[in-house]
Amino acid sequence: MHVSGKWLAELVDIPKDITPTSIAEKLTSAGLEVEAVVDLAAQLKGVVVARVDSCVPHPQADKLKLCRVDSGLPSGAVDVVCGAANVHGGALVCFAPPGMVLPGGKRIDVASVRGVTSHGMLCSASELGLEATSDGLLLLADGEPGVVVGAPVAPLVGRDDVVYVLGVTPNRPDALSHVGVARELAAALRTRMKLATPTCPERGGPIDGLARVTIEDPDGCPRYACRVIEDVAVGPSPRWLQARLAAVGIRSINNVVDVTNLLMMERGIPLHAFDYDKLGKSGSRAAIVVRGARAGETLVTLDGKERTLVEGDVVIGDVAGEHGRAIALAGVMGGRDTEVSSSTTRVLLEGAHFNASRVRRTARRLDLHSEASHRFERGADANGVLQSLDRAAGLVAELSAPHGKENRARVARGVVDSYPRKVAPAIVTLRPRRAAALLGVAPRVVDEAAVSKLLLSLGLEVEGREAEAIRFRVPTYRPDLTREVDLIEELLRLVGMDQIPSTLPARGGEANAGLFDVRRHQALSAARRALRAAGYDEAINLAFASPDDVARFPAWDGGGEPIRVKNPLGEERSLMRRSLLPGLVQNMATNHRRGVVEVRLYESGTVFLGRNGQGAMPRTDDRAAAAGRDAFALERPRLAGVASGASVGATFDRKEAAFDFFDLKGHLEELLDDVGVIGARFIGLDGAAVVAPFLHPRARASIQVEVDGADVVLGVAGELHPDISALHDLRSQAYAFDLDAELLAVAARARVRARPLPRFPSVRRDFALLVDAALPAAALQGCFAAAPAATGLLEHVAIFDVYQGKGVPDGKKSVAIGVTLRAADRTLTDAEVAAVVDGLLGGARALGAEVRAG
Amino acid sequence: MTLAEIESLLDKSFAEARAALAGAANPAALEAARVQFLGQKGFLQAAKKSVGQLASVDDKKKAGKLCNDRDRELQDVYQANLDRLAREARVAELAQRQDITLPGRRSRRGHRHPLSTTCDDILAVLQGLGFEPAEGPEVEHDFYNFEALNIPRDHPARDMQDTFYVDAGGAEVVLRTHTSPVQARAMLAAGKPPLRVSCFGRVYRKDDDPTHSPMFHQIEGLYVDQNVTFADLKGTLQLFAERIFAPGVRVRLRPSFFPFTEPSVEVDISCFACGGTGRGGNVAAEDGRCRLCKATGFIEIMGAGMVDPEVFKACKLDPDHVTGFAFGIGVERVAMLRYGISDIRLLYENDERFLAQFP
Ligand SMILES: [Zn+2]
Repeated sequence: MHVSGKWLAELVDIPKDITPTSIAEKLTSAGLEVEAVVDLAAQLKGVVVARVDSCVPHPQADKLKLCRVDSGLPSGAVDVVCGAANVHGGALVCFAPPGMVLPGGKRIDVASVRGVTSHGMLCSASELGLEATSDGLLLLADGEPGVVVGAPVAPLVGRDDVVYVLGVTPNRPDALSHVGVARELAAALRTRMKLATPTCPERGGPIDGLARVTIEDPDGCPRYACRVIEDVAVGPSPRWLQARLAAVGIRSINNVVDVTNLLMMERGIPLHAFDYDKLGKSGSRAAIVVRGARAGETLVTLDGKERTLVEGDVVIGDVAGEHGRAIALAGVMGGRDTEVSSSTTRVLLEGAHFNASRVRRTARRLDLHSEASHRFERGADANGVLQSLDRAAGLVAELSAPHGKENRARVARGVVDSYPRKVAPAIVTLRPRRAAALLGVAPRVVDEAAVSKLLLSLGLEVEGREAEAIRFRVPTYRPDLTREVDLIEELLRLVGMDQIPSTLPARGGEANAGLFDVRRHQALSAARRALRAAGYDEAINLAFASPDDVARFPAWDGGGEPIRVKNPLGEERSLMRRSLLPGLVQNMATNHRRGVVEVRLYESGTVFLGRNGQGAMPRTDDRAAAAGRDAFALERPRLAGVASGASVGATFDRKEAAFDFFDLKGHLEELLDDVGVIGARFIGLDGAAVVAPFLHPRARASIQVEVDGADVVLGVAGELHPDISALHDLRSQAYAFDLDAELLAVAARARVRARPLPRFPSVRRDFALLVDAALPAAALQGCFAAAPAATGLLEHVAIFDVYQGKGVPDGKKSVAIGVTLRAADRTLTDAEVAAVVDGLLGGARALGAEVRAG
Repeated sequence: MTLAEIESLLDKSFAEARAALAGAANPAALEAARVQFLGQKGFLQAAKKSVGQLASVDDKKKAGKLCNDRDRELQDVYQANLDRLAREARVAELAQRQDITLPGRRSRRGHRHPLSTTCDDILAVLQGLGFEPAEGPEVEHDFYNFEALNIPRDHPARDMQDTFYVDAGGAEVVLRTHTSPVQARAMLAAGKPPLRVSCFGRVYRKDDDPTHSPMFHQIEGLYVDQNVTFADLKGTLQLFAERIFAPGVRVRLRPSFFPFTEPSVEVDISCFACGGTGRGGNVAAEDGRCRLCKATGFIEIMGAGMVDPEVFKACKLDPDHVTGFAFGIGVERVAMLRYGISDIRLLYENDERFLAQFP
């Protein structure tokens, strides 16, 4: 909402010494936030009144003229080349000197025009930002006050104004008008409004013979009133009206439409003007029918678009044709067929009140948001309609002056006013003690006297009194005030925030809502610390996904149909992610493309696996459900990561080692240790139920752990599939993991129990075993761990070398294993160690191992 | 050998041995001399072997003593040179210098995302004020996101939050536009006051430009009890702002509108770039106007208010008996202010060179 300072000053007494900045502060602290203060005069700073001393044709160009222009400078008159048809010797013009920048951004320079030097520019109204288009120069009338050579032009064209750009919250429809803003300002400045009740000289015949109104849909239209003006001359608006509308950001159309817009900006009630002679008649009278739209009915709106209507829309109709036609979309936009044009001589002015919700529904459905719908949606004042209509009709008649002819416009006598659903002022009871208690102020700050005085300044009236309570009658232009707490808010605004003390509430006894999983939070914190220690940066991605993402990265634990956004920002963001990996792989690709190949990223976030079986409806009757069980989607907390580049970076004396699967596995083992998951295993995915097609078949695993006797899959990890790498143009081999944070928390069992230090020495024995190349290392480790001879003595098994190649037969590999043996209660003898080693090697032989050394 | 021959052998070789042991210039030469003169094949050993073959006890004693004296003497010489060489070696070692300006070998360290650091910091401050964290679904029923928060269908207040709607068959489901639905869930789940929670997480609005992301993060505090006052809200906001930003930061409240609070306020804090003066500071424009606060001296940072009675009713609490306040803050906004980030999209690109700037 753009508010003109000059306009405000006409509506409210503003003390002379108050600056626009302090007015802006007053409005902002009253809750009408001023987002910007624009000085319109500054935009025309430098443009002055000048006289064209002489005007001769340009020697080189037919259509140009060479003017000698006196702008009052001590240095004398200058030459200006001008192309306007209406320039002539003796004309008083608006002169823009070299160096200034016009409102449209055009810079004036000394320039050579067809061989003649031009020292500035003579301006048209559009060049000064006053009108959308103009024909010729803006000429000033000699003898008018202020029209003096050298004087600034801004005040002469209505630009000596300051505009306040207000951000009006949706609860304050009253502030979408100058009168409403003036009312707030008056209350804030403790001054008075200067608003006169409009009168309308009625010189025409009775309106009853000209129009009738039928409201068939009083829910959609509680009130419809109209006036008729005859012998109107439609034409351009006078400069003051154009300037006023331009100041508040509205384009001038013609004198009739401009008056309706003026009234809307002044009083917040949108009006509409019909060409009376284009309305369908019943007998001799124009017949207005306000009704619900018929499904499929069409209407071409003022913007030239054909609109197809549905039931529930409210239309203004007439009785043309067999069934009547729609001539305007109530509260949203008028129709093209009945638009006021230059040939219009009779005007029917509509002032009405429409149902806010229904206007809103129609405007939203058609994506047709007008100044009118904006106001009706928020609630215009049904009881201000007649005053607006009176003032508008009077103005239309007054401004209807055909050029050089007598003004014959006449307003018909009377007004048609159909008001089937009266909007009555709300009666709201306020308990001053309650106000003091809620605000936390001393009772005297908002005692009965103070409360009455404050609220009266906003136009409320005392309707009655009760014990310790006052009943207020709320004017209908404040539809937001319906409850005691609404009045308390008004009191807070008027008293001022500074008058409220600062206190801190007492503590203790809080109920636990149970909307936070502490265990999961702890597990995640530990996991994230471990990942940071392993060099992973934390990423945060938007939670949207494309259909391709979802297809390429299926959730390893299944999931239903993805959650789909009905109004997405493009197809590639139309689904909710089912995996964190697409985002992370994308991040990796972005980094690679920018030349950063050393990438380790992790993200902790929600994925949306599908619909939740218990989440069809909100279940507020069940406290546990309200705590989250009735969520619509199956939302899972996930922890995923990607890595590429080096395992250990090169330094001045050491070579780089490439990152590979075992780096990833090590990082995850550390993570699991830190979280407290014990005994997790990495299990190959061949033939497994867990699917991870986005991982390379040669190195991919699920991570499983036993919880309460059952195997739980915590997630998957592996090398990124080469197809995915190629698709994203990755510059280096990439690895990825994806874990479920909730399952991590469930599996986190470790309770640290301190053990005493060993009192007896350990013995280490190393063996080289020749085994089938396909035998997993874990099988050897497993058979050692299970060997009966080693029970209680096997402290550690380390695989420290795996070799294939020269000296090892094809299809075999040499595995070097070291075992550490220790007894808790004695030093092991050589014989004991030999027996254990025999047992271990026996087990290995059973797996087909051949002992090469040991 | 006779005694005389032994004496002659000792005399003849002693000087040579002494010179060799004393004069050896490095550990290898010294060791060679030790082996040559003091070793098994050296003259001392030869002499000692001959002592046993002497017939006279007296001669044996005399020759034996002589051998031992010479042996001890040479051992001392040897030891002295050994010590000297060790000392010299240490001195030489200590004279060496490494190029300590070569870069250290660092292991790769990960970095926290500035949003998650900021979020955790805010939650920690709230925890210190007694607010326990609470989470809720991101795909949310229209009821919790709007209806329960006094934002009915066909109400212009819905325009304040451009909403993503979810394809949900017949159900009305949205991507939550704020974390306030968690407040509603917390009240319903707790069932009775007092309740003090901080609701946090991702929220979604259909916006995408340099200052808005379609997904962002919010944290809200909610306190519900008997006799909670606006003055309590004011005091809490002051303390909260001081702990998040800086001690002494000034808090300004302006009336505003949120459907779920009444009264509602916008919360501004004094600009920390210009100290609330609107001019100067480290981000001032050429004309001296502070760019951070657009020369107003204040930065809009939060929304807050007293919980609207309609919200209590929807959440099955009796507005005649409980009151409460709520406030909400955008994590992105705080992080951008704190770290001087100008384009919100940097936060979601996850460029390693951006992330590595944060601890
Ligand atoms: Zn500042």
